[in-house]
Amino acid sequence: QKISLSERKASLENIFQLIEQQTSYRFVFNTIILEKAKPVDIKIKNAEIGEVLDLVFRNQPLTYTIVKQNIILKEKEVSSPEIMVIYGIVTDEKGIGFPGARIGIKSKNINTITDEEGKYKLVINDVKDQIISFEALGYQKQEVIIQDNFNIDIQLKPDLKILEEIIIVGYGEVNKRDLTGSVGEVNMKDLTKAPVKSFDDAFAGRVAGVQVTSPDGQPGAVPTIIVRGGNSVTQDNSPLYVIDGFPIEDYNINAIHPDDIASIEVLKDASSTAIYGARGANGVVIVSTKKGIKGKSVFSFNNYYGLQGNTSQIELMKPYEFVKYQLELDSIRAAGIYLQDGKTLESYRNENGINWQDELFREAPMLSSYFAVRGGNKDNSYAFSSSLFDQKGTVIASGFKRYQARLVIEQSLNKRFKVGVNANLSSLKSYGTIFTGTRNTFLNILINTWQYRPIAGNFSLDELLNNAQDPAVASATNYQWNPVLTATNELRDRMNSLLTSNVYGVYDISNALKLRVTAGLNLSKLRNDEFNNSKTRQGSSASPLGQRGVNGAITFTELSNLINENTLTYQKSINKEHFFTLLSGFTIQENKFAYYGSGAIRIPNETLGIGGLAQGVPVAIPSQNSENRLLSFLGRLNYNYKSKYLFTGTFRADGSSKFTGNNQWGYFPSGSFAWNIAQEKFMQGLHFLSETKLRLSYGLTGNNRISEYAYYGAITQGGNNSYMPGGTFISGAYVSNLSNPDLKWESTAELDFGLDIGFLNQRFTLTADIYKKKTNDLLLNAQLPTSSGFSNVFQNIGAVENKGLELTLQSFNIRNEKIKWNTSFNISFNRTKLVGLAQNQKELLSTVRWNSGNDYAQNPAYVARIGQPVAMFYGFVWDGVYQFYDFDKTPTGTYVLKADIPNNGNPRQNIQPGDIKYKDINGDNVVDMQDRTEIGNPNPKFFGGLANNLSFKNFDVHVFLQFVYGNEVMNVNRYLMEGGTTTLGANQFASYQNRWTPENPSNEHFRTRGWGPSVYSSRVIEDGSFIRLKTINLGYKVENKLLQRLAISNFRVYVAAQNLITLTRYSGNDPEVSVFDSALTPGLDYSAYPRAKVVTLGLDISF
Amino acid sequence: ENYLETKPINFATPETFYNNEQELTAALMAVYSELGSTNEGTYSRFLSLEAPASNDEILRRGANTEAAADAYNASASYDRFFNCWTALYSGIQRANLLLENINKAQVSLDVKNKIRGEAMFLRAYYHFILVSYWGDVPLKLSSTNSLNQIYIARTPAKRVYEAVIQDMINSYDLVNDITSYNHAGRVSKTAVAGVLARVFLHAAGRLQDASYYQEAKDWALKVIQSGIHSLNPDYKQIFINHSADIYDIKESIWEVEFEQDNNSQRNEGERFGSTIGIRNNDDRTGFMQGNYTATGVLYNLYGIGDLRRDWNIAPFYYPNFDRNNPPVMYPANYRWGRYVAKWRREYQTKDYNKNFGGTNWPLLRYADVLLMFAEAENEINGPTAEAYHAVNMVRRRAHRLPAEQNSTAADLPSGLNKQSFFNWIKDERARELAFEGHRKLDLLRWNLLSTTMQQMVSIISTSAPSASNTALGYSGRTSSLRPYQNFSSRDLFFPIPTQEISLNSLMVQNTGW
Repeated sequence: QKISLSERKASLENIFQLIEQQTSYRFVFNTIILEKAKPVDIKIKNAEIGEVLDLVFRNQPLTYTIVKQNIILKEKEVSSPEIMVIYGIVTDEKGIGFPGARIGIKSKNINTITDEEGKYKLVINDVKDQIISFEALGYQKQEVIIQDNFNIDIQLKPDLKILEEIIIVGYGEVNKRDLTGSVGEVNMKDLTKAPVKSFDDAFAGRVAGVQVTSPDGQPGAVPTIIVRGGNSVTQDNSPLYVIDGFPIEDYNINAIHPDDIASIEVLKDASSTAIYGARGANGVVIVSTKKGIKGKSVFSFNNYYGLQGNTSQIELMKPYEFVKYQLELDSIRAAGIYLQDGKTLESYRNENGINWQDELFREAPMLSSYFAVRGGNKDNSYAFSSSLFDQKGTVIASGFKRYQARLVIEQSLNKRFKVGVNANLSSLKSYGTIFTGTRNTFLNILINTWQYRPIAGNFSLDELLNNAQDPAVASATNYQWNPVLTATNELRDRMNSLLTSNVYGVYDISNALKLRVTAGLNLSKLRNDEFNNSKTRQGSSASPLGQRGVNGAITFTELSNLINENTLTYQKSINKEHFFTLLSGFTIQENKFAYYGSGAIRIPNETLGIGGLAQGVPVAIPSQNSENRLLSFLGRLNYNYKSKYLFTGTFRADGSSKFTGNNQWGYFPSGSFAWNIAQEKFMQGLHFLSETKLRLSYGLTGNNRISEYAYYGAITQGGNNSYMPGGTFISGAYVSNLSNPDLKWESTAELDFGLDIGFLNQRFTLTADIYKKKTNDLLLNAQLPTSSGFSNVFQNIGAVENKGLELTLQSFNIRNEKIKWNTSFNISFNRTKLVGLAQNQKELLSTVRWNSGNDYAQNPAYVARIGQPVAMFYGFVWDGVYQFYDFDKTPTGTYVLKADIPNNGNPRQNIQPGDIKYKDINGDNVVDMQDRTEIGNPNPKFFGGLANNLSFKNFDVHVFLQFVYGNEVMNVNRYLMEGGTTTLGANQFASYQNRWTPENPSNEHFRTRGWGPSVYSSRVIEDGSFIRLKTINLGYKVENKLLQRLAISNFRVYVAAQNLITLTRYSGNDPEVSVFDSALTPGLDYSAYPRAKVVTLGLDISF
Repeated sequence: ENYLETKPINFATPETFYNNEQELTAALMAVYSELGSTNEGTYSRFLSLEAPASNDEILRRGANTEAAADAYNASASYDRFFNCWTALYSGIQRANLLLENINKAQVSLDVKNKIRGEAMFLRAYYHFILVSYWGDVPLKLSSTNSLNQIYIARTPAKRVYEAVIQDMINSYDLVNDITSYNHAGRVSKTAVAGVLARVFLHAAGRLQDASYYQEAKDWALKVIQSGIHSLNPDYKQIFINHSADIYDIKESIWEVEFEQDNNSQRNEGERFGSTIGIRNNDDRTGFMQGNYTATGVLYNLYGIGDLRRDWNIAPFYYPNFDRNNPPVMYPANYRWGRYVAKWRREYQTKDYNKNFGGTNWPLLRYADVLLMFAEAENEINGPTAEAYHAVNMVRRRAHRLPAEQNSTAADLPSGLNKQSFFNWIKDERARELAFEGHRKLDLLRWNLLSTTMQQMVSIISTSAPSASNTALGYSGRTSSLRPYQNFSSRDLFFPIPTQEISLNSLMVQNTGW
């Protein structure tokens, strides 16, 4: 006799009728007792009678009994209240009365706090079998069931959990209290509040000492992470990633979904990183993914959907100002275009024209969907997750997409032996025209967009919008191309499949000795599709760049890393005072790289796209292959005396195939010492100090980021080193590389002094570190005097020094039942200095090819001088604009520069009032190459972040601010966009409207055509400091009975936003930019993909 | 331990190379390749146009405000000095490595000797260019093999010339005759002999040692007496051939090979063709920037009936710089600002690439050999009949007359003395070899560059029109004057590139830089 009911606000009588209809039961009652009954909401299917009745009478003042087929109702008895007094004293761990502890009986919603002496009293009724709880900040919560004794005294125990946090370090984990090195932890709870594709996008400002810079806002772009300043000058400075124990250089973080991550630790000092030896010098980022937790299966869903828009848009000249400028630039040609059919300049006064930025940019959706199930039983645990992330770019036809799945299983085979697997498969796709790094000025789409004319003049705006080329400016020397057509027709797909898989076994040889064997595989296959159809600038025969006709290419880059690691851990304690942990192991790693592909030009059937490559004329794609191997031995000894004195010593020996002979092996020792002062007797009186720890570490680490065969003298064959005597092509071969068998590791010695202080039982904590590291034997792609026959060789020369200070503050401001508020803040100061270069070399000049012309490309934009930071902007000091008073007026009315006023690099006789002016640094009255100097510093003075978490009842909010101060950015866009371009018909920034005219003697913007020589100058060096409201997340946790009944343990809706507000004085789109990002050439803004701001609506469910 | 010994898997190493004829040839081609280095540091553009300009024959059009070697305003850090220097020393290094490894190969002695001869000659030729432009330069007769050898001091020019001469003489016996190739793309016996004549003339002038004239004459005579070479009856055809990939080994003895294949794989194109030419902005009919113009001085050097003038110097222009428009003849009095038109892209046989073309660059022509012979003979014996005859052959061809037929219109006036004969040769070389990269180096070896540059200032100030003419491309007197005003005594040599100075502790800079 199953019952199904689905009623809302039904009366009891109604319900009774329905039950009677479905069963043979009959209700027996006196109708009077129904007066106090409440209406019933019920939805149940195929239930037994007892289950139904329990639900029906749950909140009624009635009870029932079943006698045969009769259900007899009666009123509930009201028992007489029994007044009780609960009393006692609460003391701390030393037995001293604890004032302000909170005592409560939750079921009765009764609370009180202890008085000055720690005493309390509660007067209530019906206390039998109730739970009374005792809470105080920093102490463990205690609960007691009230039975016959109403005098309850409690001694609170310090909540060691806060101190006993587990930190994952290289090849192991350690109690935070016992940590001797400098390790930055990432608060994953906070980090996952940011709606981003991968953790590195939310990483900036989260950890002291870790500088994160994203080159621009292109979807799928990978930010640069630098730990404690760059060590290497010409080589890669990115940290070593250790993903679930698997060390991988150049890991694509996009492969991992942030919600899969359990913890991220950043190993900073040599003591922590030396266990990674030759690869540890750039710091180590340890990412551990979530594993299954024994217990029932937990399902979680996290979905969000949002919209993105550009954080800013640069103001360009409107048609009137544009035409005015064109007339000044070339009055004859401009008049032929704009002043036809009786039009005058005034005719353009109210024209709006085309805002090409509006055509190129869009509001774009972003979607993330994540599902995971985790659980396990006595012998096994499992975790499975899968996700979809789909981010459309704010530039049309661009975006990023990821499919990802992870499986983690651990199985105990017997008491001593367990095995596990952790595998992640990701498929990434970035698409859309690439914004940065293109050498040719005209291939940079944002510049192209900015410069495209807002008004046509002598034909319709629609034509201007839809034509591939602007007919009025099209010529052999003008490479302009409709940017919208470019963005929509250029195929640029970058598809990356990544598999990371770890298999491990752990065998407890004895209680003290543990063997762990790991085998890992990391595969990455990147497929790059490029296709230029006949509507594109590189594929159209109408374009000056389209001489190859419709063309395309597919290239593949394949990487594989194989690793085997074997470690033995031995733990021993003597008299429970001396604790030893000894780790030893060896690892083997093999990395392979392959690059190949094919391409074709003059493809006849373009509608086939990439599939039609075979029909075109094939072109060669350079292929590359390499492999390297690493063999290592490692060891670590931890010694701990009563958690008071802690010592860690590590040693690693690395053998690498990248070197030869005696240099193949490198040895990397480190040692560190920590002193938990708080444990000392003389500190016992200082109640408020819950932790005081001093740390000191020193060690050597290495860097081997060079190509596999750098020490070889290579023969390069083919290509443009060939010759064709008599018109017959004969491939040429030459020694392209001077062999250098002496090549060895770059080594970094680092000293770190750290202090950890906690107050009021860790309510406030401060971690401070100062460090100094010196990198010697720099693996420098050193320049050679070319009379040697070579331009560069990898050499171990030069040195770099980094020193800095890092502070991390955490505070639990309010922590009670209703309101929780905590704040964390970190700030880092790093100073980098070049100490040495190649023999005799005083400076290293670096050029950046953002421009196809020879002028800027041949002038170095950066200098690295000994004693200075590794990169400084280099050029002339801008000195405003020549004004009339700098000139003598001749009787014929011409202006001649006064004899004591220096020129600007151009010949004196050409200089006119309104021309740009540069400082004559060496005072010889002539501005020439000798007057170049350091004109800006791209390195920040300090950077950091401020996070606040506040929760009130069911609401929670996370606010995160990121800041960078004191760095400068070279905004080279302004060279082309503020009157510096000779291209006719190119629009300019609105800022150039305020240019110098005789009536407007501006000292900021030179006159039309007053650009002077094409040189780098301080004019476009801008303050790149900013504060960004990086992440804000506002959530509400829905709690109601229905959810409880559906066993939904968490149901949180939230609004999350990223990059909402940025405060800066920078005039470009975004001060966080570095389109040629490297140690030598940071902080340059040129046609960067604008960074998006994101607002999302999300839902987290778990059950 | 063996686990860590990996061998490169996508390139060979020097230890495993130079085994057979194919590998030796590949190594030799890489030595040749620096003649047309893709960074334009050699004959693709710098050595063909910029390094030998500006002088009394050629002038870069435009404002001359940008730094350039031919505006005489570039500094030691100017990248084309560096590119040229680097390419030449790279060629020397490649040649040295080949010469040092050639004996490893399992090939016949004939093949080895031929390749050895070419490599040795090219090593010498690169040194010759270096010593011509930079003066004392490091002489490198062995390769750099280790980091201990990277600092090299300058060798006195006399010693460099001696080594160049020695290498070239040695190579003469080793290399093939040009007839075995039937093209001018490889170094042949007569190419060696002709270039040796040139080297001796330079040595005579720049080392101030008249004893070298005899050898200059002897080597020129070797070419003349080889019986292989003669003048092409049609002057302009020589240069059309350069563009059209036609080899006339009678006239053209050695060329830099260029080929334009539209970026598909080889990248062996030149850029001088699009840099000069009769200005044309339409790249579908052969983009030519017309960036160099003839001087009025050169224009005036040509006599009546001399057909070379209107081939070398553009007689017309394309209105609106568009070759689709019918050409318009310049007015007769327009003598400054005419484009260099010796090579015209319309004769190129491949599809046009905007900037790059496949026109070969002449390194040695028979006409040059005749003039060198006449010059050496005149220096030794005065204007003999042989000297007269050599010059007259060149002059008759200029009038499209048979080389052996006397002509009052074409032939040199009789009765010249040694000095006036020299002056005729001086002008004849300008007329015949205009824009072929010889003028500045000739003036340098005659020690006439400084005075010529000074004279140009007064000539331009009086005879070049003062106003610019943008429709015709003439940029006006002020801009035209600038290179000549910028010229100073330091410009007798290029500066040692800054990078070389700052990295090579044994290097010292030329005076004035």
